[in-house]
Amino acid sequence: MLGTCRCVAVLAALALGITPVAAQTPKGTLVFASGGDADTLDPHFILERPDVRVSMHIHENLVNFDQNGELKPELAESWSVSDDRLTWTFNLRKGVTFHDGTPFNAEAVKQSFERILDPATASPRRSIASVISAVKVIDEYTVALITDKPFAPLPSQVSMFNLAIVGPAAKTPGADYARKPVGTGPFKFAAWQVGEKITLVRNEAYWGPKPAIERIEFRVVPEDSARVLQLMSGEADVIANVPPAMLPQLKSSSAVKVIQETSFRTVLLGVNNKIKPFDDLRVRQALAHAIDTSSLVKGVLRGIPKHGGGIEAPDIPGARKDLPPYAHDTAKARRLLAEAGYPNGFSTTLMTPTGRFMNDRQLAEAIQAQAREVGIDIKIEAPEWATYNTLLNKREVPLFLSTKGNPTGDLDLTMHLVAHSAGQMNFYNWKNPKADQLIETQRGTTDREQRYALLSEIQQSFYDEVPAIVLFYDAQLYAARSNVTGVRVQPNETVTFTHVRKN
Amino acid sequence: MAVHADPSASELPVSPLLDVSRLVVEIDTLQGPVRPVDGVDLRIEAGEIFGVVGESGCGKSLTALSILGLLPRPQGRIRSGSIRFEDQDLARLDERDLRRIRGNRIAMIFQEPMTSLNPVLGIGDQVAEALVIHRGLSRRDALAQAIHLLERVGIADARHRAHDFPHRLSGGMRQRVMIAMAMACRPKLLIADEPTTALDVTIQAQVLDLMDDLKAEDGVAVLLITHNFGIVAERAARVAVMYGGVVVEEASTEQLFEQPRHPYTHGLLAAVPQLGRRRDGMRPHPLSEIPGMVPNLARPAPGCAFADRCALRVEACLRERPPLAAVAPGHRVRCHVTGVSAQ
Amino acid sequence: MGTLLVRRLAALVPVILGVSVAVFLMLHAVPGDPAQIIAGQEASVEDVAQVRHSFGLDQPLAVQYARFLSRAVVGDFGTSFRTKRPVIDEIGDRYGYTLLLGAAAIAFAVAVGILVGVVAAVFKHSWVDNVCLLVSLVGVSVPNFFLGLLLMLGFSVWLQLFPLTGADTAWHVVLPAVTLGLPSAAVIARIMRSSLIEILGNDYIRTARAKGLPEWLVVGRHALRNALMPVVTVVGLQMGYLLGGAVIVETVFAWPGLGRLTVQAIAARDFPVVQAAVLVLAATFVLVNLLTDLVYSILDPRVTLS
Ligand SMILES: Nc1ncnc2c1ncn2[C@@H]1O[C@H](COP(=O)(O)OP(=O)(O)OP(=O)(O)O)[C@@H](O)[C@H]1O
Ligand code: SF4
Ligand SMILES: [Mg+2]
Repeated sequence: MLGTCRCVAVLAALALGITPVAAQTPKGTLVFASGGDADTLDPHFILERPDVRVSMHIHENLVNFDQNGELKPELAESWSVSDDRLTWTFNLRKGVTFHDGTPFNAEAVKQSFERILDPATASPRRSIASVISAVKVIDEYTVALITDKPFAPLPSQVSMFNLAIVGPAAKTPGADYARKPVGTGPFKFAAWQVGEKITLVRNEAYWGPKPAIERIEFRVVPEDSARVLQLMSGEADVIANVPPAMLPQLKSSSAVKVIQETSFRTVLLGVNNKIKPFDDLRVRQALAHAIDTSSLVKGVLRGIPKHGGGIEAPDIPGARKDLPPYAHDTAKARRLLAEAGYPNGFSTTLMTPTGRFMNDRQLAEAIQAQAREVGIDIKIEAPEWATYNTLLNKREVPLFLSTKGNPTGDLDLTMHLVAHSAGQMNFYNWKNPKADQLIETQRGTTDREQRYALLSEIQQSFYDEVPAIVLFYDAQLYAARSNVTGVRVQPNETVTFTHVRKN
Repeated sequence: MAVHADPSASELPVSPLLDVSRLVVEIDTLQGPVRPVDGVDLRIEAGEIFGVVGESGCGKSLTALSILGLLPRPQGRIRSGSIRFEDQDLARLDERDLRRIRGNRIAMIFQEPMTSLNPVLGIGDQVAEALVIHRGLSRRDALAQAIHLLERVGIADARHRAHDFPHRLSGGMRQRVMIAMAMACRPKLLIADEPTTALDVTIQAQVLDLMDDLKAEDGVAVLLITHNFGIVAERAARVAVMYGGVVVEEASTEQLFEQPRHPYTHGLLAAVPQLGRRRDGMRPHPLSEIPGMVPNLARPAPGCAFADRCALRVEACLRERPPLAAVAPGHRVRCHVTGVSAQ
Repeated sequence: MGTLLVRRLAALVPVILGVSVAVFLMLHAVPGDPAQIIAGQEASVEDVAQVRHSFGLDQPLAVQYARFLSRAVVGDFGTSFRTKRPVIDEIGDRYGYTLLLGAAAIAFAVAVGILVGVVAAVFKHSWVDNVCLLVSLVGVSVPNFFLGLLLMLGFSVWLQLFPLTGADTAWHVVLPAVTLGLPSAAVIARIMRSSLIEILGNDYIRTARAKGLPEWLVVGRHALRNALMPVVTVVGLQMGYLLGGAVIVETVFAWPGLGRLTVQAIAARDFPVVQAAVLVLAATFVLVNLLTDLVYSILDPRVTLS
């Protein structure tokens, strides 16, 4: 009801043609409105996307991904691994300074990695760095990261936003780095009006090509409709998380344009493989055949996301592109259920978050309706987010809607989280010793194709054993004023404004 | 003495202070408009105490309110008649002119001293207000004068009490404050609508004594409305008896008590036997009910309003409304039977 | 009066203490492990344990409360789980905005409510009265967020009189304050109307008229003050509603107030922030009520603070 009302008001305005050319934002300023408040700008503590979006304009990593998902040099100009595959040597860019003027060098890199690794820092993301056992300064511009075991994905691991290089200022006690970050990036931190906006200004001393815009304002506008209004009225240049219901209207307006990008995020129906009757493969297969993902995408999600059957989004390098969704086949589903001893179906519970990703609640209801067709009676539970997470972590919920993204674009990170029996996000209780083995092996395999082959095998097992039913790969919906170009929405769910131009 | 053709004109001094003539008040009710005051005549001389008696609902208060133009709004209005006061017809004055008279030339005090003062304003300020409005005094000067007035009405330590709020005062004290307030601008006429009904007997006498004193000192005329014949007998020079929205008898106090003419007045006095001994220091007694029904305002009788309850009723009483006719100098009666001049 | 005020302020202490215990117990009773939520889904078991330890959440409840209380007494509410900033700063950043929005909303509600109520009462049963009645009916029944969007559409997008969202300038407070205050204005208008009509029927109003006061003085000096008393009570009660409604309005207008922070903190199980925010809101509520009583005692000499 609430959501409908909101949409009605905005749609009414759009229909009435209330789209004036408002007082535009200053030419050199880009105003970006999104729903979330940032919590911290200290990369070692960052957990949420709104923080990442800001931080990655201030900080840089040794290595990063380009538009095509390929690794590219950033603060490191080149890197190599030793023959024992335990020492990674990075040759650093020269002539780079942090925003406070301190020089960027091997010592700074060492301090940054040691900070997140130090238990006293109490970083909630220490584990991201924990494969690194030591950091060695070779000379002013050469640094080595040393691991105990071979770890092939290390270069992509250090592209993770948590491993961005923080300035030496972070070391100063009481410096409040979270509020006064000092990086090497194309933009400098300028001001933070808590709950309202964060302002960055161009780093005039930037080592790379300087951005065309002088300032970025990251504004917090929690209400979806209010964000759309801001864009329509010209108070914002770019907005995130456009409500799908408003897409057609936005698309038809010449003042604005929709930026739709695929994402590395998989939306799935998790199945608890330990709980009866889902411990039986045939029941999981039956459920997979009962669900018609293409009608879910069309009906609930307006055909926006792509759908497929592999656990990893096909755009991720090394991900399987050839795994189709389980065919929608209710007869087969019933047969499988009968074989498993449930000819009359059964009752179970599905837990869903509300408002965390696109139309999640409606999605759960559509799944409920589809499962009923084959005799599976689903009860929906929709606790608020914190409770949902706690219940998920207890791993006692039979069915749950869940998502997994991929911040580094390397399959290792998420395969380990999701498919390894000790994986923190293996909410499915899926235990496959061979998969565990493969995950460990690929970490030691530096040859890319060979590694992808191993990872491909894990994806196949995941597909065959259906610990979760893949529904679709999320889409990212942004919109911008039509005079704004160069907004780069990345599949790992970050967005870069460094290349933006306003005409 | 000869019978005069127009008894209302020449038997009394030429220009009374207040002359209410054929006053009709109309009030809109859910059942339609009614006329609780339906042709009232009153004449009040300067400096006299004029009593108005009559049972509850006969229209005393509405008559008093119409003099000041304070009929309930928007449902009440003066339908016809005149209210002459010092060469002006109050019934025809607009609100602005009436405001100049209210609290200035004519003041009024009410029955309920407990609720007639504003609970959130100091009594001194409430007394001073009229002086600010009508005399153009500053608040300060007005307050100083208010303190004098309060002293004059017998409030001890008036300088300090002036800052008190009404809830700190007793009922009798409050009525004194009301009187001080009414007297602030030295009015020519004071309308006192049952000023003592709510007070206990000793306090009643004190308040009435105070009004007597003021009359003597300032020469103010008092229109004293009451249920209580005893009070009228003791204090008023002239009396009007009202019934069903009209004055049925008007006379000097002496005449009324010694030679009552109207059957209704008779009934009232018969029900109050002590009145014959009114000067014996007996305390006044309230007006008692006489048998029968109070007239129905919604369906007024075409003839005499008292006809339903009258023992002397003749046939004309039901058809025709009796006129207010002089039966003796200064004595007028509204009755087909007893209203004939007794020479 | 002074000592009474001190006594009333002292009565705050048990209230605050009670609220703090209640909030503390409630926070620990609801499901949702703060360490897990703060660390995120992908955090390792060690990460979560690390976070839990760093928050002191691995200690017994009584110890946690005792530590909270002993620090709170000297004004230290700890650091936010989410942002690692001192809670005092987190709240301090937002509280001013909440007070500003609340004060602007209540000022709007009181001004408009009283004006409309007085006009309706003075012209009771006329078309003016009926229009006022209709407007106040709409005022109470339109949901906050819808009203907010309507005002945005009308005044920001279309007429471009006010900015859409944010809190940069004084103009930014107008639409949120109107959105937040309108339902209260409607309630106040109704109470004001009926109260004034009732007061205008009082004997002392007749006394005032009999004194020859012009009608505006009769209403303004004699009736209004008495008629305001029930309004003051209602305004006090509306404050509670405003604190509740603020969350939605702050969200719609992206207003950086305490309500939004509190809701975010609850969702993130940011215990220190929730605790402090609830305490601040409770103290505000109690103080506002004290203020209401104070106003009441100024308006009505028969009432004393007790
Ligand atoms: N506002 C009003 N609306 C309708 N009827 C009214 C109104 N005021 C007075 N009346 C009616 O007019 C009649 C006369 O009223 P009024 O107050 O003049 O009587 P009264 O003689 O003063 O009686 P009491 O001795 O009880 O004060 C009563 O029957 C009363 O019901
Ligand atoms: S007019 Fe007739 S009814 Fe009326 S009082 Fe006189 S005798 Fe009685
Ligand atoms: Mg009366």
